[in-house]
Amino acid sequence: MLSNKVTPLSRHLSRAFGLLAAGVHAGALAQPAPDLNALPLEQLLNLDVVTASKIPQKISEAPSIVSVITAEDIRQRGYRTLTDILQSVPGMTISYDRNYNYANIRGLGNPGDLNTRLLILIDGRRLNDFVFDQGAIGTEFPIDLGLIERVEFVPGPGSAIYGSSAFFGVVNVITKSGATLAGTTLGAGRFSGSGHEARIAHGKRHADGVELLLGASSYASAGRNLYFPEYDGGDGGDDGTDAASNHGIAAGLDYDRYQRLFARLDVGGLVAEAYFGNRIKGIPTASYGQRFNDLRTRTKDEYTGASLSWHRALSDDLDLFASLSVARYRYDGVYVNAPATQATTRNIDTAESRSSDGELRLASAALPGHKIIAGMEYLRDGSRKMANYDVDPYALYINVDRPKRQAAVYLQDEMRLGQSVILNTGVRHDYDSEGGATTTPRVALLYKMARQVTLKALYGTAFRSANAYERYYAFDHKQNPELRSEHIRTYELIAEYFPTDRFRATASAYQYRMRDMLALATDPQDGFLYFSNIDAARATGIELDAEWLREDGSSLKASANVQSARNDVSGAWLFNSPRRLLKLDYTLPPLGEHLRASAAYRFTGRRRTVMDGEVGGFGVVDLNLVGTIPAQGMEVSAGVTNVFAKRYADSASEEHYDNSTPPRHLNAIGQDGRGWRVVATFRF
Amino acid sequence: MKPVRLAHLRKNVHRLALHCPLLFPLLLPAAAQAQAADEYAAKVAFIYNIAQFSTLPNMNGVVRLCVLGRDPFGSALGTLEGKMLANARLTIVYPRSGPEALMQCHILYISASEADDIAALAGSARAAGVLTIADTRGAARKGVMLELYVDDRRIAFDFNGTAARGAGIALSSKVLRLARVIY
Repeated sequence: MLSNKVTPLSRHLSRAFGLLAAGVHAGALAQPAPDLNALPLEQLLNLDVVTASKIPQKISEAPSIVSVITAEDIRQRGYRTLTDILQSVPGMTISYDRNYNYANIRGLGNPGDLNTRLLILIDGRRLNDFVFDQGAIGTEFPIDLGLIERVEFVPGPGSAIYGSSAFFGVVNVITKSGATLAGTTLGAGRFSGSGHEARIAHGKRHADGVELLLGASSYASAGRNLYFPEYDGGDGGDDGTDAASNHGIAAGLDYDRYQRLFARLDVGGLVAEAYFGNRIKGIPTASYGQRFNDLRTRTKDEYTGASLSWHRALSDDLDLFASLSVARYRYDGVYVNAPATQATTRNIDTAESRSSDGELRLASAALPGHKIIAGMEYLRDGSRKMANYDVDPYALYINVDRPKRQAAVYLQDEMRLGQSVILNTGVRHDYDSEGGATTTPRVALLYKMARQVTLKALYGTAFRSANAYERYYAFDHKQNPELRSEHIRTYELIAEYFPTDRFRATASAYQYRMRDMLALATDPQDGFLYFSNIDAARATGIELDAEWLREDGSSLKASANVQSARNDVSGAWLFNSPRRLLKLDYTLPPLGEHLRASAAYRFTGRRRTVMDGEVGGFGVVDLNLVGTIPAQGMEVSAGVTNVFAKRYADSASEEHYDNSTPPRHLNAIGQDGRGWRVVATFRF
Repeated sequence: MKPVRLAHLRKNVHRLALHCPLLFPLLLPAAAQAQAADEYAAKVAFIYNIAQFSTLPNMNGVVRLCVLGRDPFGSALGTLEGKMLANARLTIVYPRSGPEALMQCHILYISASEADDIAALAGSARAAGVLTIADTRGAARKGVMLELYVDDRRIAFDFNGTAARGAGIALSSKVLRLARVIY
């Protein structure tokens, strides 16, 4: 069978080139356009024009690297989750433990860390909850991808603007307005692993300028049966445990179901929006010492949020922005930890985070040569609950609620020094009723060396306050309410070559230095484990990135990273940190007016696992085709993921062990082989 | 039953992937039919038309068309190099800064990358007698003489007559009656 064979890179490449050749062929055969210069003005103004795609302008003046993924990119490539989107971004690797997805940015990010150091924003407002700081990037992310206008990713620290958690990077998801969606769409999809999806969205711009967008979607997938060699045998014996662990096969436990709702109303400068997302995911890995292959174990993640924001230009050079929002995150997990003899015992783990937030911001360009932004934010985490109990016999282990308050002020200035230098500075001061005060500055110096070349030197800082889980979740370890915040400092040099709206190349060298990182330590007095600010680490690397939108409608993106991330205390290579990354993305020229195809290749170098093993490097190819039938208002998107069925695995984190004695730990977690998807959308 | 079905699917998917490169060329006749003009090719043609219908000061046998900032036109602008406008030859120039542009250019296209300085540039270009064009939203209101945009898949433009008169540039009435908004 194909999936068992080793597929050499040369064969991948030759197939990829076959595709490329077909694309170039298509471009070359297109008829030469008539000489527009010879047309009289009246005719020219009546000509049907195709709007050119452009690389966003502001990128070269941003005080950092910015990656923008547009609605069109999402449509063209058939992306299904925020993980798919982020995987296309330079420097990003995402691992999956078949429950949550974990981002590694420029070599930093532990498996199992719930993305506490990656800030996820929906229209500029924080999605990370206040119990775990969890950054949702998998199927639990509550916004349907069809409702996203664009996603912006900024690597590096963002605390000078956003405060806690903007540690390794910031992802801002910007939703569509009613006018952008314009119309009603109905969608249905089928996916490998018995997955199916239904979507409905309605967008309208009313005559009085009022825009309304409503969307709902539902997805369910049974998933495949998964084999874990670590759970196959070894624990057997006469009691039939081996048969009970089903020879290492978790059957029917990779299911994934979600429902999402979204509403947005635009009235002039006033935007009201609300979202809801609820996901249930089976746990096939027996995490936290469970009985392997027990059908009852699962997690449920629910995100609810609503906001009201108001933007108004007070004068030509003064803008006011105000926003009020509320958010709730609820989690509950069912775990079957008991030994095989106590078949009925379930352990329930729950959390709830409720917060309300108010923000006021002024942007002024009144002072010549300056753009100043000043703002303040007040945040009330009204509830940060955690509970853990056994159902039968009932036993309560944890039940805490630790509300807190946060307040912040910030100031940024973009100062023009002559024709070719911009000095961009920012500082934010955060007060946290639990973690105290923190000040995070940042400085960026931009120099337009030539018309097409910009050099940037960046210095940034960020912090993350210890979350409720790290402070108060004392179950198998002690509480440590005295925890301090984690800190990071980064240095980055960027050279950017941006000669036209259709070509851009950047080279960047970076160093990230972290201190006071939280890790588990042992108390010499009583031998108990507790979280403490003991770790330090640094990552150094180079990133190359280029993007070319060709005039025949094709586009090519490529990026490569070479990096090294080490623990400052032990000198050890960090877990889950690839040293090499390569990404290629090619969209063919239009294959006729109604058919587009794109192909992507992503290579991740080998990584060290938490169990001190290794998972090998791998290259994966994805393909997607999008065809439209305008007369029927129909669009079909069909894709194949991992086309060559490459076998690869991600590092498992500490919690993936079962209830055997001694526990059997997973070293690696196998990832999906070849998959397919077909989504049909009707628009009317 | 399930493993059989999966294996079957896998086989088909594999076949599809292999045949994709072979299938694509078959779809090509459809590609040749797609005929809508590229936005920037149409904008280049528009600029050429405008140049033909305007009286520019200080020509001296050469009309210099400048692009300030990041060039959005791709190869389309090159088609104008060497074209004749009455007795003057059109040539394309890429000035490095605003002041340099004002010294050299007769027609100045201010690219979106310079949007922040557009009002100041438009003001000094008017004083220097340079015809200004931009496709940044609100450019005509900020003093740029011609603002291009795409509306309902058609090229459209606004005209700032006050700025043009200030620069001593006259545009043919043939052009003016096609403007959507005149300031």
